[in-house]
Amino acid sequence: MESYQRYLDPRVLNKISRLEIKARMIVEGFVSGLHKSPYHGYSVEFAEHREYVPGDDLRHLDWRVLGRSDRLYIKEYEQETNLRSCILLDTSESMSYQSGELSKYEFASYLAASLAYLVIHQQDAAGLVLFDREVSRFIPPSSSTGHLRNLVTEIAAVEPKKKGAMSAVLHDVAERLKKKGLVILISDLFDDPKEILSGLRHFRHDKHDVIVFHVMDEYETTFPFQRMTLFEGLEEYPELLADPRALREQYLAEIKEFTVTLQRGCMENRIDYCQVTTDMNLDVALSAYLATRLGTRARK
Amino acid sequence: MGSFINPAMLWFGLAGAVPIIIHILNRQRYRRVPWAAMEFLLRALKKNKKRLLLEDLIILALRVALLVLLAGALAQPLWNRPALAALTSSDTYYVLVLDHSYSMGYERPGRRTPFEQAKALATQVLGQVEIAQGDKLSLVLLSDAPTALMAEPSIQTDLARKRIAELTLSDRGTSMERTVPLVADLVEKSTQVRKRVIFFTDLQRGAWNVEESERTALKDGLERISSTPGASVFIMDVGTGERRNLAIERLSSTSKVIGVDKPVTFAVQVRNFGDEEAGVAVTLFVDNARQETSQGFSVPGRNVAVTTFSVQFHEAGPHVVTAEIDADPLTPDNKRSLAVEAHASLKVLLANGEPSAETYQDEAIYLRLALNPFQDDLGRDSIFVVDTVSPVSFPETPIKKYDLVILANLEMVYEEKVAELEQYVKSGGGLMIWLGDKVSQSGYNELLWKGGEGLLPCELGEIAGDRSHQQLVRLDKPELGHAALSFFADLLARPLLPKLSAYEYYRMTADESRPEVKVLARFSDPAGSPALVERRFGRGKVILVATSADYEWTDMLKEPGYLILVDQLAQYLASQPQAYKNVLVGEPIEYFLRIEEYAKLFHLVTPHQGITSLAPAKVGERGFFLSYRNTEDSGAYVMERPSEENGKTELLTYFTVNVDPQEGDVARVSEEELRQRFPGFKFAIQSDQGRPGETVDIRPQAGRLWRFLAYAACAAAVAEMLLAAYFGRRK
Repeated sequence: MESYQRYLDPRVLNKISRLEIKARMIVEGFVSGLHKSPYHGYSVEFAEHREYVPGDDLRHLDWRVLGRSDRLYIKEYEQETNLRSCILLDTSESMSYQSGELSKYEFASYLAASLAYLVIHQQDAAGLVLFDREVSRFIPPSSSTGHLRNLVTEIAAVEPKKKGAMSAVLHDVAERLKKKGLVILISDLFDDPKEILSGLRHFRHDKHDVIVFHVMDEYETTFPFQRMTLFEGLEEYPELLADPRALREQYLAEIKEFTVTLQRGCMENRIDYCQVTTDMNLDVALSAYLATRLGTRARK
Repeated sequence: MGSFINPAMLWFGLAGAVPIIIHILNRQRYRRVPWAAMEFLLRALKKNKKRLLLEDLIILALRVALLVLLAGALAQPLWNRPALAALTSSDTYYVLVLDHSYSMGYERPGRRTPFEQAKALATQVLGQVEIAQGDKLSLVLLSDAPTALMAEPSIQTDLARKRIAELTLSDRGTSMERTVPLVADLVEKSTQVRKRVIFFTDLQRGAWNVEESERTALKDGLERISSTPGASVFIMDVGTGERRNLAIERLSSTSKVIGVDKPVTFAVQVRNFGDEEAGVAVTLFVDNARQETSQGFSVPGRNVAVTTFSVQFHEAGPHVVTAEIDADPLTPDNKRSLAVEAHASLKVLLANGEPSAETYQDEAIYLRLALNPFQDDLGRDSIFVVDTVSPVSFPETPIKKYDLVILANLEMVYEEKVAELEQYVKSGGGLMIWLGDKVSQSGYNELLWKGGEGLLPCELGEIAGDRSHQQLVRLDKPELGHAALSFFADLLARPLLPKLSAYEYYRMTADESRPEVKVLARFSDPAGSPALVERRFGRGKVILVATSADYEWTDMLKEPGYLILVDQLAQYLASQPQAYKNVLVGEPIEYFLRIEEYAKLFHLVTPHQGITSLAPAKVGERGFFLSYRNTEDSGAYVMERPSEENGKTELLTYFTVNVDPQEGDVARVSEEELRQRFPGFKFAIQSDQGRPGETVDIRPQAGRLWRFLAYAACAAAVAEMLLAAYFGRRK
């Protein structure tokens, strides 16, 4: 079990080709480090019994009741059993930036796959929205095991290329999600913070819980360039020839202001905000999710 | 504005473009990076654009300035000092050239002499020498013997001030010809960036040779100074503008030989350098005792007058005759001295080649009469005492004690006697040779001519002329400028020589390209055959007469000119030349000792009563001689021999050192003349006619900016580093 933990390191993970396996490795690695299994700890909270009807999953049969009374009862769980998580994964071109082992998109996709794995293994339903300037793929939440494969296949098939525009997408997705649940946004959030927050507020307005994974590349947060550099703008931005040393201070200030604005906006709207960089271990993000998940249950 | 000392270095200023080029090149060399967070980068750029541009411009400007300033410092610009005095450094080499010739002592009542004024001005200039600014100085004395008192560029202004204060006038003349090359050498050697040559002089016309048109050392020297980079010349004219001055130009005796108790005439020539006629009286002193003062006489402006004195010396030996005129503005040339030797008698050995009982057949009788015409007559006596010897006794007669030896138609001189004669002449004796029918031509040529090495001035040829004694040849083309014949230069005496004539004579060919041989007169035959030929032999002289001394070959005995000629030749040959005893200031005194005069040590008493000890030095075969070079003071010098026995001293001889009378001509050269004569000589002239209390500023108007520029370049370098670090830190 110990060996699973190394898969939390994106650099190790990168060597595994299939995203589904990666997701499993990540989650198993993560779970092995926890004292309590997430599968049976938080999510399997008993609520009531109901009589078995054909088609019910036999796993949920209460064997003890059967042994005692010889009647078939299915255990009913609390709401979270029916938690509908929707993972919003940004596939805009900016997500393709990569300074180290992983691009932001690769990191985000691992994160998304792992979360989907975790969610589905927690008996929750996981949906997926892939978007750039518009929603390119919308897979409604489902908790079936086969669903996971669908999600993972979709995630792995995407190549981030197009310019992104989040605000419209967020509103669009908010409109589509009928039932309240957990919205997980994985993106670099390179858009107007006001617009983003407006979109996120839309989710909150619809009573969704929202967790935002703000994926940044390490270089984007440290800007370590020294020599004269021609920055080739992604997402249709122009090129810029500049001495990076001269711009670093102001750039970092801009980045900080941007994240602080987002962070504050999230906090004000009771949105969980988690900034992750591509050099981080994935357990940070997963822990954040679990904390949010717990929070979600607690708020009920 | 100014100029540049190394203008070529300005090209390095182009290096100022290097930072710009590097900047441009750097912009060409960049790496490409795809970038997602472009929005933030663009925003950062937009906010910082002006600041970044400003910082870049500041750094770029500092780098460009650094290189340009460095190039500027290397080019060493000169800048107007008053404008940028605080930023410039002087770095100047001052050569102070102070005229101390005696004309600088020109006196005028109530005024400083030019020399005093020159010293004051020079001291003033010293006050402007800024040692702290890198200035150095040299001090040169201007005269006909220029001296660099401080030759090496010095920083010791106090020493220079002391030297100037101690300076006294010399008795020297002025020679720019000698001084300027020395100054040019100093200026050319100097490593200082600027050179200031300052002449403090009375601009005496004679010193500048403006009339000359040839290229001279003076012209060369002046052009060398002017063409030295950074050099400029100032002439501080301290002359008075007056030229009134009388000088004793010449003091001479009319006799070649001075006899005791025999009247001798001294001529004193007075020159008036002024424009107006001036009256003067001359006083004559003999051995410092006033002898006589002449009647006052007038000397026309810019002309000369001569007065004569007749003097008798009562004691044999050396004497000093001094002529002096009344005080005038310039004193050193008011006095002139002459060292002379008075002889009780001059001994002559006459070798008679044809003795005869018959008076008129005797070869020597006329010569003897000519040398001592007053003998036995009224007690009057000639200076010459003649011993006549026959050809037989001549070889046995020692000749050393004689002042003059005459060979008259002597057939032959034997080999031993030839050697003795040669030694005698070599050590200063005089030899007169008359020819005649007895003379053995081949013997003379063999032993006395010796192919040019012997005593004879020229080889004897064939006997020429008219044997029948019908045709006479006259003495012709006499060298009247020669001391032996100078008597005949007088208009009254001039006709006497051509009346002397001969029937027969030896034909001779004189090689006048030899400096020691001189033809004094020729015969009037078509070939112009030499009649009187002189040869200098060692310290003595030989005169050869081509004909005989008696009636046998000549007709000249009946002429009064014969007596005078013989007397003059004898005086000339017997006299020791006195010129070496009478020299100009600065010329060395040299005295050859006779054997009997020898001592280990001699005393020389200088005009100011200083005593210098002199030891004789041996110079080859010429014997021992005494030499003294430091003849800076005019006047009489006394050579004495200290006696080893009683401690007393014995007078050996006198020397006189006189000033160059030309220096008394204080006529001045004008600025225009100087510029015309020396077009390549650039100078500024400042006239200062002895006005006290006026200051003069010859400090360089242009200062060197290089040090300031170098500092500024350093400051730019430091500022660049600090600012780059500061801007970089923010980056």
